[in-house]
Order: sequence, then structure tokens, then C-alpha cells
Amino acid sequence: MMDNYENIIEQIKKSFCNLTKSKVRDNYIEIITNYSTLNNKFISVFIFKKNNRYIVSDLGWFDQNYYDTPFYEESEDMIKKIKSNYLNSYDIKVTFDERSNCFYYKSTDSVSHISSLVYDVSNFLLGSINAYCIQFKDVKEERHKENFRKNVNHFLEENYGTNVKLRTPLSDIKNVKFNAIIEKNSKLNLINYVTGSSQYYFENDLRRSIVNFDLSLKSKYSSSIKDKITIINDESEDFSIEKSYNIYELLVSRTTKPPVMWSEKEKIFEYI
Amino acid sequence: MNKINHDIKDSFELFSKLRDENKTIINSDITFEAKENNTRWQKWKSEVEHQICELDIEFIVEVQKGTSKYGVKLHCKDFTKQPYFRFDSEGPAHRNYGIDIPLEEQSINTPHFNSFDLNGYPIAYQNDVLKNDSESKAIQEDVNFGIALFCDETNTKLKNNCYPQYQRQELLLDLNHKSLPNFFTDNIIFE
Repeated sequence: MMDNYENIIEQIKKSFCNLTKSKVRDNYIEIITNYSTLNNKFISVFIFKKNNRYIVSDLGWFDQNYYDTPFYEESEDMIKKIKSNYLNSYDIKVTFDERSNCFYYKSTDSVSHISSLVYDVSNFLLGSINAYCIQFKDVKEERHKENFRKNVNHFLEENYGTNVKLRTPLSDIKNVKFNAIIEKNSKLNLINYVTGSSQYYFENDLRRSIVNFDLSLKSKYSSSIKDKITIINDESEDFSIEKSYNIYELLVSRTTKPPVMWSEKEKIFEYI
Repeated sequence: MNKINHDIKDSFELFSKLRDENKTIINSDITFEAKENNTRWQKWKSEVEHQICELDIEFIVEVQKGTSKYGVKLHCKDFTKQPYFRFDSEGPAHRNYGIDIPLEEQSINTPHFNSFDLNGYPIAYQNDVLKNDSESKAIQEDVNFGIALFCDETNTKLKNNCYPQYQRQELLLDLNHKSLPNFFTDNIIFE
């Protein structure tokens, strides 16, 4: 039995070792490491000597996107945090060439330190490059919210026509947008939609709705506001109102009418 | 892991035809222009006529100034969004991901071709020429060799049955460096 284990261990060591490859050039070595990114590229690091020090660098490959990573703009903040964490954790230095291309590296006087430096620079590159490969945006949530929004928008437009303004703020508080504002008899009715692909997102929507209604009190148009109404998606199984009852109750205290459940959407005609 | 290209998975036969069957490069005059979004790169492209298929195909060559990095690709936007066959002279090794491939054989160094398997997964490979170290080095250092190799691999030629050749001396010299690009002698400061 032990023999068998040892065979397995030997096989793994051999495979891992053979996966690490190299290219030797006139004045540098490229180590093609056995670390591969989420988009299936193996990390390469380069070793060369400058001013009697050994430098282990990515040679600008990361900055110039040789790893061919996608860039999700909405993830930029997240990527920055991940990258700076990796930079600090592995104590990676940064320098630039005359074209402002960024080179990541570590350096040493001692040949015996080079392996450790290759390990650090590779780990930094792997973590940071993978951060670019991940789409942090929750696609399921976006789709869920978009579907509900479309359905309610359609329903309101069908019944209230040009009196409905979608995704619009009160003109004196521009950064607070309501899902819909319906104008009737020169009075405004503010409407927020609440849904979510999970309990967490559902609660976020409840909170957003509370804050929006609270802020509307500060508007100079507050005397023109007739009703503040929430339309809740009660046809989703991804969350339960009971589980978030304390926040739900708070929301009810901020609205002028009980929330309209989507399964009984016609109830809104009693209000507006 | 790498995303499946569903266009190729769903129409693998068409993909194989676009890649393997005879194609003619219409424009023989190679004139590189700076890429709009990245001036370090220069690009040349030409229309390609497929012997049977009437889809619009483009033959594209891109070179990075001051390095030996260049790429050659075939793109058919009406078929699939990304180029469907590529050659990379330099850059990271590609991982051919698959349980049936021994781990040590999953890493495919550059220069290499990038294609797709039957299931639409991106795969890289080296043909016999690229597996030969000295030939592979020569190809890496001269964009014209790379273009010729790509043309052979994809059965793509000019009308006169020749390969497109780029003659502008300064670019060839630029690409023809034998060791590291200039930055070693430049003023990059490493602590």
C-alpha cells in the first residue's frame, strides 16, 4: 500500500516539475511556471542580471495585457484592491520603461534566493491576473431585477400612459431616483419596486426604498406628493418577506399606502 | 476556465472549412497602420476569398513595435465574434485543459497556433515546424516567416500562389533583434 502511495507522490512531483519549462536567451531566462490563470495562460517570469543583482520580473507582460484578460469596467475598484493586496503581500516592486509600461519585479544578490522570488512574483501575477478574469457583477441578480423592472414598467405604462415617468428623480434631488413617478391631477405618486435574486438583494431593495421615501420629505415638492407606494415582487421564491419582516415593517411606516403585491397588482388602481 | 465558443461548437464543419480549405488573400500590398486604441501595435488586414463559402473573411497581421511579438489571424465576423484561427509569436504558454491530457503536456509554449476543438474549447498547438527549436526561433524573429507558416497551415495564399511579404526594412530590422528588446540598455531602474 505504501508503495502505491509513493508512486502517486512521485508521479505528482514529476508532473508538476515537468510542467515548469524554460527558454534560455542570450541575456535572460524565461521561466514558464506551472501556474495557470483562469483564462488558461501559464505565468511566465524572466530572470536577468542588472547592476550585479538578479532581477525576477514579468517584463511588462501583465501591464501590456499579454495574458489577454478581459476588462470589466464595473470591477475596476475591486481589481485595484486585489492587486494592491497581492503587491503588498509578496512585497513586489514596480518600475517603468520610457513608454510608461509598468514592470513588476523582485531582486536579490543571492542566486539561492531566486526560486523564492520566482514563487512570489508568479503568485502575485496569478492572483492579480485572475482578478481581471472574474466578472464580479452578479449577472443573475441583474437579470432578475431587469425582468421585474420591465414587467412593472410595462404594466404602469399600459395603464397610466404618458403620466408615467420611469427611473426619474424629483428635480431638486437628482441623485435619488424612483422606479416610477406617476402624475395625476397635478399630484405626484412616487413608486419603488422591490425584488431580489436572494434575501440579501431583497433587503437591499427594501432599504433603498425606505431611504428614497425619507429623502423625498426634504424635497420642495413634498407638498405635491400624494402617495408613496412600493410594488413588491411576491412571485419570486428567491426570498421571503417574513424573513425580513422588521425591515418590511419599517418600509410600511414610510409609505402612505400598504405595499402592492405583484400578484395583486390591480390594487394600485385603488390608490392612483 | 476558457469559455466555449458556441458558434464553433454548433457549426464545427463550417469552422473546419473556413480554416482548412483554399482561400485567397485579395490585397497583396502590405501596409501597416497604427492601431487606433494602441499605438505600440501596427496592423494590416486584407479581404480573403474562400473557394466556396461566401462569408466575409479577414486576414490580419499585427506587430508590436520594438519586440518580436506579432500575431496573424483569420476573422469571420458573420460567423463568430472572435478570430477563429490565430498564430502568436510570443507571449504566455497556453493551457490545453483536459483530463485526458497528461499534466506536463498541457502547457503549449509560444510560438503556437490557437484553434478550437470539436466542443468549441480554445486549444493551442505547435505543428512540426514550430516544435523544432531553431525553426521556431527564426519564425519568432521574422514576421514574414510567421506569415508564410500561417498561410501554409490554413491554405491561404495570394492570387499568384505566393505568401504576402512585408518589405519595409526598418520594421524588419526592428523585429529582427536576437536578444532582449531595448529596455535592458535603456534607463529602467531596478532596485
